[in-house]
Amino acid sequence: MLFNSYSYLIFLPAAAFVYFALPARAKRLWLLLASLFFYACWRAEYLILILLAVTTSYLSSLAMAAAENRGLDAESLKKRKRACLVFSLVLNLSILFFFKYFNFTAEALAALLRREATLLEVALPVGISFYTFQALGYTIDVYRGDIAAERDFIKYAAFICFFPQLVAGPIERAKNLLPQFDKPKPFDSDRMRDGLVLIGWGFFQKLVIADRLAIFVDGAFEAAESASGGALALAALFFAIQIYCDFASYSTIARGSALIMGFDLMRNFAAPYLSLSLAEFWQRWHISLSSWFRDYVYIPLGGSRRGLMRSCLNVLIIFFLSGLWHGANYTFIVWGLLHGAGRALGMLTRAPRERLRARLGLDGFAPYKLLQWLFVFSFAALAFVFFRADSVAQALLVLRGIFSGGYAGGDLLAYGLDGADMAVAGISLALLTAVDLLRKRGADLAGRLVRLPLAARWAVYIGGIALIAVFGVYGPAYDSAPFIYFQF
Amino acid sequence: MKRKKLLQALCFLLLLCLALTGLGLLLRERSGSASSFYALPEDSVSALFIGGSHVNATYIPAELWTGYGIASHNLFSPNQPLWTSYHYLIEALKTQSPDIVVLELFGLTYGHSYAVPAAIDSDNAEAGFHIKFSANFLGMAAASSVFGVESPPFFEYLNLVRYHYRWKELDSSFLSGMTAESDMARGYELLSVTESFEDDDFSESAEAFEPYIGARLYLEAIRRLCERENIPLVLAISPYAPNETERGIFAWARQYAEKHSLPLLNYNGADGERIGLDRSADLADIGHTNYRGALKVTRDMGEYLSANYTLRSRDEVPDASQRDADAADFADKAKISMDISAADPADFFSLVASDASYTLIAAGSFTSEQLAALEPLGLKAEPGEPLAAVSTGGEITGLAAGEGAALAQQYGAYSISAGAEKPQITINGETYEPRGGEAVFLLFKNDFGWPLDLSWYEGGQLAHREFTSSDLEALTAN
Repeated sequence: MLFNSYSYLIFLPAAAFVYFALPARAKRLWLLLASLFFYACWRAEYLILILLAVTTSYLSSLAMAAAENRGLDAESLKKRKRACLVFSLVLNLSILFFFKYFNFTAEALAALLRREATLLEVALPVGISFYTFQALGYTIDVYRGDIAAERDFIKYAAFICFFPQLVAGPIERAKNLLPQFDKPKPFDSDRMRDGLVLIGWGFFQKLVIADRLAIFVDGAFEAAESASGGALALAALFFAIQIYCDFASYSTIARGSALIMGFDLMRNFAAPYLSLSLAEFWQRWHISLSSWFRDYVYIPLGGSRRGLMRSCLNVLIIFFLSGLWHGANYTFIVWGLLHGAGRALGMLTRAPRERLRARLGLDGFAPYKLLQWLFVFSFAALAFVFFRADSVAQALLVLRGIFSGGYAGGDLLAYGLDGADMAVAGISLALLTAVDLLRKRGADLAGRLVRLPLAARWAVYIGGIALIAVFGVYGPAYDSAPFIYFQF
Repeated sequence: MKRKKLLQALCFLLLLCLALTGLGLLLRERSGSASSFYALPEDSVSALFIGGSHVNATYIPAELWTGYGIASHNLFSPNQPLWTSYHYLIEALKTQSPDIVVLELFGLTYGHSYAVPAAIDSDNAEAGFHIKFSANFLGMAAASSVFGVESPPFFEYLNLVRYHYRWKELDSSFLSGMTAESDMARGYELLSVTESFEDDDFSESAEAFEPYIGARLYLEAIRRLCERENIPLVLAISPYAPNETERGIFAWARQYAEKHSLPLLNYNGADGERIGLDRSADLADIGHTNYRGALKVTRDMGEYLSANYTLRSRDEVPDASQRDADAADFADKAKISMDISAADPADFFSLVASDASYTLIAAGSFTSEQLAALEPLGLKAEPGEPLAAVSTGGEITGLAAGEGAALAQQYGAYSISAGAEKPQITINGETYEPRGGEAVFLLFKNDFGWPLDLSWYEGGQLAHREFTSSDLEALTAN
């Protein structure tokens, strides 16, 4: 079930209504059942994979807790717990590998050995990377002793399967989300209003911006061989905005949906395109995944504690894995490594850059900040060309097109967006940028909205919904586009 | 406190619904047969014909008016299922009180005909919903969503969901009401071409085949509605080339009609044979009658209705003078349509040359025999030489000859170009190429300001493709 479908507009209120109507002890079970139904609407047979991830992580964590209660000596306890952790990691990552990476690996090996690859005909289970990482994060937290093993299976299953964030995140931490199942909050109209505002903003990002820009991006990438440099540059720019709005909108709708039922999910994006360095970009982009890799891979690898070169290597490893996490394709690996290389280069040159900046008095100098922003945004946008392309060859074709000129091609209106659509895209982007800027400066926009007089507030709400209804890309006149991150 | 918040929420939802409904009304589509129906004066229709394109192609209101004094109207939508017919009837009864309702039964074949459910549901969603937003509209959306086997969900029928992209076309016409321009042909579309079918079987199948449940339910609903409103209902099956299952469904319809004592005129069965229908000459395609076939059926229907029902007289029809004018206008246009559909090249070119209101645009290479037939147009050329030529009133007004010969000119709202090398004619970006590949002709009517007909050689004769109103609508939208 897609968030941008009519079924979700019926499902969410129905799920929330029953949730609040049920007694406290039945709420978790209801959330679990509703979440399983939500997932089954896509493919019921793959429920078994989620339940397998839930059961193995649940049991291995319980086994760790049981080992702790047995009075084992420290070494034996460590071994026992490690065995439990390895069991959970191996089993869950094997399933992930089988469904997501088997064909890719088989093809790569076959190409290396110059043989024909034997491929599996299996569909990639929606959200497998998200719920697997959430379950693994929980198991590692229990292993480290950061949290206690959860004994209530229904509660734990509801945590992993919680429908707002099940298929495309945010990848929640047990420490944040699990305790929220203990004390269900009663219905609160203010919370519902705030949740609906978040959902509305998510729909604006998805339907008005992302899906509109997708029309141009798809057209230009498809015609990469003949498109002008200007059109390809615009397509790269548009895709950078499209993927941000597409993914951020999912997280925003997820947060809004959860908030209606009294749950606070973490913020997954914080104005990433206003970053002034790549390091800052990754603190603001897909925060739940970046922090997952930081906490569960980067720091265990040594983080920045083992010298600059080792830190750079760790960063490269993290970004390689991050690229691979996004998809079984060389394009994602290149995308990840580009960011890894960029980050590593930034770390290597940080000291001389800082010295130079101080000597030239550039700190706080607005044009310099603008240059920094331009560099980060351009880097991110160009790297995303690999993310969007079907193959590395297509990405290189697009990049060659961008840098080979042809900016007077006059074909900007030939890829599905006419002047009126371009105008709507431009105005929407201006609004998005303004909101991100204000948020980055700490403005409490939701709070300001709530404090408006009733008539003004209602005018904003109704006007916003009307804008989405009129300018959104949906309905029979358009092909509805699934969220990009569903494929991960 | 809680009560106040609940009240506030309800008020908010009400305002939101009003705002979205208003936007839907602003952006809605105003074309189509249903919307021109609103242009009719109240209580001016005596015989209401309801159904799909079979109604549109078969029953000629101008003929019923001039020949029998019957003020009729075809309220149709393409590929209309019976649930839509039912809601169209409800819509019609809001402003009209017909003396008789004629229901075309092709909708009964839903799921078993040459028109597959996907096409019917899609046509119905796209072109069937040009009625005013009301409870009836919502009922039609619900029925279409439930009974159309490949229908979109209920929400997708709402005006705002379907037409929100029309903000780009926003102009002062959006502030007008629902009424489109009145339709001179009153829901009839003349098809002048002929497609020949060998099927001469007019026997009515003995084995009845039960139609789709949705079709049965709504046939019954229409019958009951007419009974309630005290309006006689006549069932009609228009001529086409039906398959065996469709014949079985029509046999079921016969049983249904007998059971409820309803008259059924089956022009695919006994009634077709009685009036001398000939599927080799009276059909325009597999599903529709051409003008010749339509005249036969309409005249028989006119006689039947006049003989069996008390219909209002001409004096009681409020727009009688308008109907007289429309009928005369229609007769002129029908004559033109039939004239220009002449298969004999010499007849066709002579007719075109004799009337300065026609412009003929020709492109291709011609044999000496073909050039002889083209002479009345003023065209003289060497056999086999590629030519692009324009002729008006027997005089050549534009000519390009030789390799790569091409001409381009603006005719009102139409930008037309002709290329001789690979014979083709392009109108507002839409390219037409002849099937045979020898030559192609476009006939433009100067006083109307639109193209009428495209023709090409087929076995020494001319084959024609008439531009329908929807063709012209699509071309001008380009």
